[in-house]
Amino acid sequence: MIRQPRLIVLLLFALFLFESASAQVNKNVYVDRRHEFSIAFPSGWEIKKSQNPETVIKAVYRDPQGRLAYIAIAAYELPKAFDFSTVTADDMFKVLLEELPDIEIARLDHGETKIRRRPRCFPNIFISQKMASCTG
Amino acid sequence: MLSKHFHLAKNGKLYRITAATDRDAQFFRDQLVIMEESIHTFAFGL
Repeated sequence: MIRQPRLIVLLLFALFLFESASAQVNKNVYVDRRHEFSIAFPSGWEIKKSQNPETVIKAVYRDPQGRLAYIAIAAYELPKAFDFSTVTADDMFKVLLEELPDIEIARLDHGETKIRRRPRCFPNIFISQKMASCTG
Repeated sequence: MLSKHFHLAKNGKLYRITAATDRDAQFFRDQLVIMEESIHTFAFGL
């Protein structure tokens, strides 16, 4: 018969293995070798390629009411002399306006955030329903 | 659509990460929490 302390250790080890396996399954990690990045998409979201050539990858979720949510990662070539360190959220919003001239866009908020302790700018915008067919 | 865009530059490219939902403010707010948690795992380098 196994002594009780040893049984507890075995149970804890089994629980650890189970938790590790669950975490790996739930991570939904995407690794892009061409662009050399990785991202853990939300658990259960479907990872898809896009027909839009600039969109590297996207993850899509549709809730039981049919509402759509997605995260898309797109890559664009920058001019060689471009200095991104001086770019502001204002600049990025202007780029969006120029890029999508036929789309109704309103800006709600903007600022800087940090991804992995590095500052990133974000123009937070509202895009009209017409945008739905234009997003990749 | 409601969306939030993050811009990063690396190796001569601009990367735009878009978190978007259908035009439903509450749904957007709820999903944005989940989407931002995911976006903050984004990392260059393999």
